[in-house]
Amino acid sequence: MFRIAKNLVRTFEQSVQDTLALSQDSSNLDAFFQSIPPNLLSAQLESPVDAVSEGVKHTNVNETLSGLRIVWVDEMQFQLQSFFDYIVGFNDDPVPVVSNQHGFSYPDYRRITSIFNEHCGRTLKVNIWSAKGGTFRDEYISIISKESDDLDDVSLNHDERRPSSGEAHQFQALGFKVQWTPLIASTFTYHILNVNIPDGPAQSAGLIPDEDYIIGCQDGLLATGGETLLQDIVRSRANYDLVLYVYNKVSDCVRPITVHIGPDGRLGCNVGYGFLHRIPTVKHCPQQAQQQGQDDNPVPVPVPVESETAFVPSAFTAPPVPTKKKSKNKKGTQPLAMDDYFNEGRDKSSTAAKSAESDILAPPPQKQSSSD
Amino acid sequence: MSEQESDEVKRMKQLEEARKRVEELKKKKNKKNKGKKNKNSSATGSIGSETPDLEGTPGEESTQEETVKANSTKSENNDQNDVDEESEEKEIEQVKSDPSGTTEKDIEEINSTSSNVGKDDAENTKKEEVQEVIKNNNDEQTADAGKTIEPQEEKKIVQTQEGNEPSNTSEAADDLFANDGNEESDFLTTIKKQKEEDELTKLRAENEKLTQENKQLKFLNMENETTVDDLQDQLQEKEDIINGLQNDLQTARDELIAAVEKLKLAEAKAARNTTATPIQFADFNTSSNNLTPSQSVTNSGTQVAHGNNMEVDRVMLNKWRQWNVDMTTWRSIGSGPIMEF
Repeated sequence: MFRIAKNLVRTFEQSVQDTLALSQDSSNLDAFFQSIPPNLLSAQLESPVDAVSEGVKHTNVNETLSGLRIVWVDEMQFQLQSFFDYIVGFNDDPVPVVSNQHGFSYPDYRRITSIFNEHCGRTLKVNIWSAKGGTFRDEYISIISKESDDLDDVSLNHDERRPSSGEAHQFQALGFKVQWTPLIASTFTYHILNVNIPDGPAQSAGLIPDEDYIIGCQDGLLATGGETLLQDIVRSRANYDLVLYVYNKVSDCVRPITVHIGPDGRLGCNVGYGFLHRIPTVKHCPQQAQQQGQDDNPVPVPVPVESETAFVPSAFTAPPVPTKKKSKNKKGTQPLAMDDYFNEGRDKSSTAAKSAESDILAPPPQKQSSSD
Repeated sequence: MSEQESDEVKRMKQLEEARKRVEELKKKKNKKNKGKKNKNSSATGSIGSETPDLEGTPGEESTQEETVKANSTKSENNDQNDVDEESEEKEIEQVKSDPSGTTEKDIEEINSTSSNVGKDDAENTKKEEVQEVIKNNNDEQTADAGKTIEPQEEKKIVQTQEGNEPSNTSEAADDLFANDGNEESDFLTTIKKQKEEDELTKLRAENEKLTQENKQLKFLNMENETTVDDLQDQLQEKEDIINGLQNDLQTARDELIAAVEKLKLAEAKAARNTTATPIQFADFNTSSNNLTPSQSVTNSGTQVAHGNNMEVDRVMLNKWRQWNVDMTTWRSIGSGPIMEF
């Protein structure tokens, strides 16, 4: 009888521990986001504590964890990709954020602009988290200072421009747009499992089973996610056309397709949603490598010219002000020398990282020209 | 065989003895008392046979008496036997006049007498057998009566047959003579009339047969006509079927021709699609990030063609590489402004 009692007590204790563990798991970071270094998330992870102190409780950190999502990319920008990439840090430091009175944090765009201005004529290390498999990588973006003669387009709404931009941009356009967005938004994808209706809308549109993921739907109707959201949208669009944005994991490309929904309001395929149906890591194929090699070729052509031009403005800016010049010269010389020293080391590591990741990077001659 | 003959002889003797005794009983009913006395004497004889052993002289006397009585019974039996034989002979002569029967009976009588003489001591046993034989004789008498009756019936039947035949013959003769002698003209006329009547009956019969045959033939004709009509209908149906099949054949041929044409068109379209790929490539190079609806439709159209064949066009997919979707105008759960750098 005593043994039985002991066993019962042990079972109860284990059950209690399991429940406690589950409760702790709810506050733990999702495995999809664990590739991000903890130091880059410290600012955001601290904010929930403040919120708790003020009476507001955030039980799920995964829903609040955010980054600067790339929402648009210029044609000449090949280092970043919209929808999937999030900027979570600069130079291995977290994105500067500010908390409002309600305890919610948002990015400090003035500070970010100043960082870019400080790195004019140099390269800036941008910490990127990608929704393709939840991978983390570093991208080195070369910042070209703006010429004094160049003119920018100015919006008519001065009030909106001032608080949004803060300081003026002293660098040329980098070719991307960002928005502060939770990381969880990238997991709102719908995996095409199989096409079950022959000659149905899905098959007619060319959806490929097991390869395609629906990531967007006609101006962002899938932004909020949900297991039944796609189904509801398709039903509501019966007898109409529906534009879907589809990612193919084999080709690593996003393409828009137009699907004509029949009167029955069915898409004609089985769809998976949830943890097991997130977008997987990209597998590099020989074709992709060749194409990337081809893409790498045009990159070095404009860079040397930019580097040469980048060196000149610093010389021009030093002479006009004597007193200020002295102080700036002192500050400029010391940090420049130190920065060069650190940059040299970083460039070497970046080259290794680039070779490993097979991403687009500046060639070695740029470094020599900058050192010269 | 000798044993069988001896057995038969014995049986015949027993039968004769039984008959004799029956006759004696019928004729001499008054002598029953004597028979009883004979039985008493036989009983006393048995007692006497026992006593001689005790008394010497009285035994001999009893034996002598027995011998005398036996002789008397024998003589009586002989007389009765003679009477019976005579009656039997008469009967046999009446029924059968064969000499062999008499010879057999004589033999039997001789045998019976010899047996009676030879077997004086076994009279008691014979009496029992006699009783049994009497029953058998009664049965035989009934059989004999049946036999006597049967020949009488046969005689009557024969007599009736014999009586019938001469009457028929006499009548025929009378008819012939009466006709020939009295009325010669009537005879001839009657003959003619009969002939005529016979002919009429034959003709009538033939007429009836012919009419029946005519009716049957009419019915057959009707049946044949109906069969002809049915066959004609069947022919028409078959002709209609043939026409339908011919029409179906023509339609099938037309469909085949149409299908061939469609295949040709499909091949032409396929060729056009293959030729059109460079144009699409050019469109890809010149196109901006935001595709126009017409371009998206064309792309979806090409995908439709491949999707129907369940073939993945990797070339087309690779062309979409490095293309980025513009989310600036999308709904989003993000917060704050969209910053351009």
